[in-house]
Amino acid sequence: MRRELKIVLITLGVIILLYGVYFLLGRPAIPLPTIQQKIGPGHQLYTLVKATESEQVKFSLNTNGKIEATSDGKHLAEIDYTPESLENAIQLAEPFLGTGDPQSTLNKMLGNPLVRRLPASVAAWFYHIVRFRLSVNMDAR
Amino acid sequence: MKKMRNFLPLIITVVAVFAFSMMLQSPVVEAAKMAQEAPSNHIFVDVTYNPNTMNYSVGGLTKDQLIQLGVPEIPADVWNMVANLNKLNLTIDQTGVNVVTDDVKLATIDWTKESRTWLYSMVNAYTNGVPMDEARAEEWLDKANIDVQVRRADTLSEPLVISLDTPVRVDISDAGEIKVEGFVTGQSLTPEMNSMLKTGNIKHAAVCWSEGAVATNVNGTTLPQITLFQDGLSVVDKAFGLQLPDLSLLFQSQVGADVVVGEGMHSDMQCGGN
Repeated sequence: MRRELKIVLITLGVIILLYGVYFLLGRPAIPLPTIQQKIGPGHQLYTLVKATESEQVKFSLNTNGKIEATSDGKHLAEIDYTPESLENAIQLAEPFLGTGDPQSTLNKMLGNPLVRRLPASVAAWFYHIVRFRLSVNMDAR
Repeated sequence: MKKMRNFLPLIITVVAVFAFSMMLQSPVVEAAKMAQEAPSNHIFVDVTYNPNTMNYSVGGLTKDQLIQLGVPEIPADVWNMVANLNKLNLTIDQTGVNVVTDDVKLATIDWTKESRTWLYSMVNAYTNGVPMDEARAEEWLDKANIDVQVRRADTLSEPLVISLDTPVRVDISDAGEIKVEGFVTGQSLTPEMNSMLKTGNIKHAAVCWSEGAVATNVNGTTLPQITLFQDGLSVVDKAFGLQLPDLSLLFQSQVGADVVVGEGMHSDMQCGGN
């Protein structure tokens, strides 16, 4: 057997084995480093973040279907989704996204079925296959 | 070929681990679906009063809070009526209506479908409006679990509990006029809101509020569930100076609405996962 083929097969085997173990563990979300973001009075969320005790709000996207906002260890709001419910929400929002001009770039893009399906497909991949936890800590101090 | 044979055990092991993990995953979802109770429409109202001080409290709200909410004060003749009463309890469930005063049974009414038919004819006879939708009334009363207790006490009453599995039916005509459970409200949607419904081609929407969780279904498709927390509302209140009243009762309640736009049929959806 050629050396390259052997390397490819071993690599594939290791990846599938690791994924099997990951699947067996219940596909926990892999935490990514928290992004720290200082916000000032010009920011849209400044008033809200400033109203919390610590003047900090953490937004977390867990691709297993949960988006949450927390502050001082308290839950402020949550959104639970599945790829299906997310796609339904996108479809419902579609008529409101257009600019009214059928020749506009945005409307042309939205008219492409591949582009329309892209957000739901990406969400489904990160929901079903590999899950991540992405957090942004907004600081208004 | 010989080297290929060396890889076969590895590939078989990998596939076996993967298949085994798939088998372990599936039963969890099935178990969660089965944990459901029979639907009911539960309302609990506690009223405390003191005829001497003419102070009272309903559903965890003080007299002053009730007046602030626009509830009229108790008239003097009602105070005279309850002056000698210590406790009154009214319960309505699927089988009967019971009234108990000072631990003595005052009245019991058999509350079956047959006895309710008589009640519907009485209501229709005394109201000159649209005849009552008996099938719909049955949907509500067949699951009724209402408990009202009125007691002489100086303490604050217990919090109001509203947990309705049956959603309220709302009909919106093409012109935007709103009917609730078949009754004309005299209210209409603003032209902007009516236009939004038409742009979104929304024919049917069902919304359930269940202790902060908002489950929504539009045109038969489920949308992501939004959960609001009291701490979150406090932050919004503080940020925008809304001066919201105490909303803790709202976070212990369950209510829903089944909205049909134009000429459509209501769904048989129930709130609370049933």
